[in-house]
Amino acid sequence: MTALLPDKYVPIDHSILGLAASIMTQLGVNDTVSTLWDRVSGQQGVRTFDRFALALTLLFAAKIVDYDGGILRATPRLGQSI
Amino acid sequence: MIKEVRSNLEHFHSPKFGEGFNVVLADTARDADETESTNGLGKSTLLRIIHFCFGGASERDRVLSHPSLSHVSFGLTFSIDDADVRIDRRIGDRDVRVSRFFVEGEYSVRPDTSDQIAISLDDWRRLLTRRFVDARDPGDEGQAPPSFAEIRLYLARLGKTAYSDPQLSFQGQSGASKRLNLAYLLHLNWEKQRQLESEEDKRKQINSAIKVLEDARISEEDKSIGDLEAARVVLERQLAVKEKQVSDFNVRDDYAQLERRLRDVDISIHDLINANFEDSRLLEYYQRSAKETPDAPSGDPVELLRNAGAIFNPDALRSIDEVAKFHEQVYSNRRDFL
Repeated sequence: MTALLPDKYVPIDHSILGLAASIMTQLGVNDTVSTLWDRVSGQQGVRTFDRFALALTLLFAAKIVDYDGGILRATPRLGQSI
Repeated sequence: MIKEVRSNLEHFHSPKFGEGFNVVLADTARDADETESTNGLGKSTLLRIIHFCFGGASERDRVLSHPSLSHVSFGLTFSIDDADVRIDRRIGDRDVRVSRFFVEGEYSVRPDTSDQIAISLDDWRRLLTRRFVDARDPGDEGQAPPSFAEIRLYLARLGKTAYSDPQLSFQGQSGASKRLNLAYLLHLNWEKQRQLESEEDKRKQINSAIKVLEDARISEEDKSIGDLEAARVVLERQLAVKEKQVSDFNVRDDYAQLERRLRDVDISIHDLINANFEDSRLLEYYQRSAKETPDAPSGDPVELLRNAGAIFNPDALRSIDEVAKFHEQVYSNRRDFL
């Protein structure tokens, strides 16, 4: 299992949590899994699709990202307009 | 012919020889019953005494040089031309007493009534050579034959050499001496041998002279320390000039500036090459990763939720089924795309 949280040996940029934060900043409108992957796969901390998938799943599990008909969208925050 | 050998030693047995072939024998020594040896009874010593009387050097004779024989007199009588010649000589003396008539005519002697007169050892040796070997007239410019002393060693052989090599008269004899004596004894043309020996000596002298001249020429060619020092100073100056020319040599005035730019460019090229290499490796990885069809690991969502519970409020998390389905969907989406 890839490290979810940073610790003594895993810096934040290499952890899934850090990667998820990075992916979140790259998420665009009407992104699919593949378009987002194509955009972020060049980043140094992403490295593998498995890590990308775990980061994306973390965002989905925490209700930060929604998945609707193959499109990834950021979940609206309270007080934030959709 | 030797007729008698004598000595003033008290127990000396004087042998007497007659006409014809004479043999000297010795009785077996009293202390040599088992070996029946007749060694050490004086047979060879008799020969040594004969040599001594005929001018041999007693100091080099290992028997006659014994200290107990100091100033002991030995003598012999030999006949020549039907006359007996008496010789007497004492060990350590430098003269020899010889029958007067044998010496008269050769050397001027004082009128005396004695039967023997004393002459020096050197005169005695020369007299023997003249009487028995070299019959030339005085002043003869011809080649000189061997001395009587040399011939005597062949006629009365002594030592081991006498029985191992008939051509040698003593150990260490030179080849020239051997050839000359043998030529004389065998009535060969010993004058030519002497001449050849003389020519050989001249050649050695000439070769030595040539070598000395050559050494002198070489030594003259050697330069003195002062000359070498002056040459060193000149060469050092020339070397300094050449070194300065080499250090100051430049193709262009801006050579140093070009050199710095070249170094910077070279560093930049190396950095780009390294970056290119890293990019190519990364590109290979991406290409390989992009072509791979991802499979969703089955346990990842569950583990993810368990860990996510440490940072999120569990109530804020989606259910395990939703998460698992989404996770599977991500992989499915990618597979469909590829």
